[in-house]
Amino acid sequence: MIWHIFKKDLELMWRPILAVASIQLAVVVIQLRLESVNDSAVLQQLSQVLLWLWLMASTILAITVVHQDAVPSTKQDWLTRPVRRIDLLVEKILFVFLMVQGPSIATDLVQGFANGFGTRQTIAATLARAIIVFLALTLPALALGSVTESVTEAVVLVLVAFFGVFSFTMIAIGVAGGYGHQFDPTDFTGEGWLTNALRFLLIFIGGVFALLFQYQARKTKHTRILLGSTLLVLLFSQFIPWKPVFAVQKAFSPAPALGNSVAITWQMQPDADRRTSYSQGRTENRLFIPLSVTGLPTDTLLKADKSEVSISDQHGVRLYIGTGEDVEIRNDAGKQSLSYKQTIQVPPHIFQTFEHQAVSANITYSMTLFKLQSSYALRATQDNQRMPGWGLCRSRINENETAIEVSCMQIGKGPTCASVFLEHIPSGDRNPENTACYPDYSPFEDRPIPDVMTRFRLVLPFRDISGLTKYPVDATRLAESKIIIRMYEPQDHFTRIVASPLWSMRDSASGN
Amino acid sequence: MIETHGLSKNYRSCGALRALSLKVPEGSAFALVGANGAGKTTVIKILMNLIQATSGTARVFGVDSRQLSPQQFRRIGYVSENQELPGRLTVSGYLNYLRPFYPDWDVALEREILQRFKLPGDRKINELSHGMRVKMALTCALSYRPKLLVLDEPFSGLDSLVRDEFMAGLAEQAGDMTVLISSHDLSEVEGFATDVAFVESGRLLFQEPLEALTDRVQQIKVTVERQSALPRTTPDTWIDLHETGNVLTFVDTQFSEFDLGERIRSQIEGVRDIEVQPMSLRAIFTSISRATRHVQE
Repeated sequence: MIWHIFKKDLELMWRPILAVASIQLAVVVIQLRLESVNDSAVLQQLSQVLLWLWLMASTILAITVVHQDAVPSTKQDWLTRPVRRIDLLVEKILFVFLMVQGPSIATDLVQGFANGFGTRQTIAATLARAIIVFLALTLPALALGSVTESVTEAVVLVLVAFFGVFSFTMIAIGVAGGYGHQFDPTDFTGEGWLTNALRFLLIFIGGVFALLFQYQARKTKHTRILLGSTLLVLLFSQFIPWKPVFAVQKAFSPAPALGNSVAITWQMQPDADRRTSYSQGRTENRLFIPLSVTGLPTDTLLKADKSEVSISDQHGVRLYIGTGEDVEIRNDAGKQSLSYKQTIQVPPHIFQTFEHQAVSANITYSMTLFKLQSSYALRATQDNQRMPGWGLCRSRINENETAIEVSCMQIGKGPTCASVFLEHIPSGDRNPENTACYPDYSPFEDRPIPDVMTRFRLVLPFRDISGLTKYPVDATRLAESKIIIRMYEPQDHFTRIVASPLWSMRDSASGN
Repeated sequence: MIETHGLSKNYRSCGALRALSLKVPEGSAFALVGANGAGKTTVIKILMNLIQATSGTARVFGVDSRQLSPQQFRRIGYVSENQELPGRLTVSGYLNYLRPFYPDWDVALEREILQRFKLPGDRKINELSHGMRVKMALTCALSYRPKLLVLDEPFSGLDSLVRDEFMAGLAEQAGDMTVLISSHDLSEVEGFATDVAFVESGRLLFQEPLEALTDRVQQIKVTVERQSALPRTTPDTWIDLHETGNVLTFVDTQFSEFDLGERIRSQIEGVRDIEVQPMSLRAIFTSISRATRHVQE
């Protein structure tokens, strides 16, 4: 009877389905247009508006589909008909997946094939996105629909949930002591996908359980409590501890032994390198931690996902706990040892109180070792090339004729890390490298909007209008130059601990 | 066919049903009567598994109403005054949708009922009048010849013409099916019901065959010689007592022609005349309700 109920819903809902599909189509058309008309602010804004409209309309449509045979009501005719509740639930899930998400899946497939991406790659990326959209949007909408009788009731419930989330966040901020506090330790790290995966798992468990319970028992109040509890657990997921997350990420390392040789030690700075200037009144004081990195394999890039810093006085009393700033060390030349200065910001009151005292630092690095996977060369101008693992790219000179713009798209998840530069082939001259690392160790793209494509752009300057900078590869040499893309992929995740001898914060501080 | 035992339903602190035990015999046209808010709809909703009882049990076809499955619902027809049909479907569209759910659906019967009720097949359900919608619901409930037809206040908001059409249609198709009908308007079920149950404030006052009820409850008019002869106390079975001059009127809820005169004379002095008047179901219901409320106060 699933198909029979499906046909009934289709007869009732085809108009709104068509409307939502049209919005989805408009979003894709604008995205395609944006690929050819760069920097069109109007199109960008229109795309954003339509995207939000599509999200809202899809959610409302999914809720309305469930309301065609509302569950909490005692007046609905279907309740006294020989309709198996599990059939009805399966039908609703299937209907929303095919009819609400369907157009989005279709446009993803069309985009993938039209842009020449492989069948397997296109299907895998489309499926991954469909699952993410289902978990992030469709399943919560279905669950919400099952505990409400009208869209108005659903909107009220959503507003109540928003108010709850807002209150929770405000309380958390108040307890933590300010807006600057970062609750989720995986935010802005490549491991963020693990927290998202956990959240999707929670949504899946909460959503499926709520739907099964509501359709079988029709206990709306209990199901609402269940959904509220799921939301609460989701809110608490932002307090996930870092260490277990990183341990899971380590287990996913493609080459788990690659980083075994990497050692990081505290390198005492020669006096000449000491930076002692600092200013009063800053909110933070910057310390430069001298590090020595050895055993880094050739053509690798080492990045700290997180560095947890602990500063103690000479008696071992802890003075400060915080996190250090980014660490990114590349070894292209196969050097045995590399030096690096990591920045750590400490609050002024800590600095001012202890700046002349002997302190020690203990830094725990959660690191990821990237290895050069591929190198690609693209003509500096008017080239169009497909690069496996990187995507489809097009190069052109920008309107001001100051830089080469490389517009790329990849189906599904885009590349994680690369260094890009302009090279004059006959002479081997290079412009400064542009290293772009946005670590995301997710095996799939977990961002469901706007579509299945990941679009990114690289800008490689060759002319400075002010004339202050001279580039080795300038406009006159572009015809004989190529864009070199060196793509790095994460291979190993590991932890290193650096313990410093006693030192003075003032000796490694700057307050510019 | 239907049996409830100690059925109670509480809405927060308010008791909508209080230990209600009921038995609907197979093949009967069973009228569940009571004032608005008495608990009739609550009983029916529990029987149809639309809501769950706080305590007690309800069985339909021998199955706990909480466990009613499609197998049972294929044999149950349900019509309610506020039933929500899919308004954007046409009459034919909805009948087409329902048909495959019922193996015993009788297309000829469906056409016959549609014709009888003059239901326009191409009209959307939400464009139908209230009366037409109730007829539509009855069509949807009768076309598969259910063994049990449950009608919850089906006449609310219907004009007399539609009511008559409805009842005529129902009577024509009833056959050997068991009908449970709830109503606060007793005149509508009087000619149809074989059994009756009175519900008042969530309690079942009694249930019995209608014929036995009308035999048992009669209005008695007693004329006495002098006004002062009227009694101060009367038997509990005499309810709804009225005194006009030297005439005493009451309802005897345990009426028996046998030794009627002696029984009355033992209570009232100077009886000059006794007149027995049969009562309509409505009059019985009104008298009993009034008496029950009086006792509760």
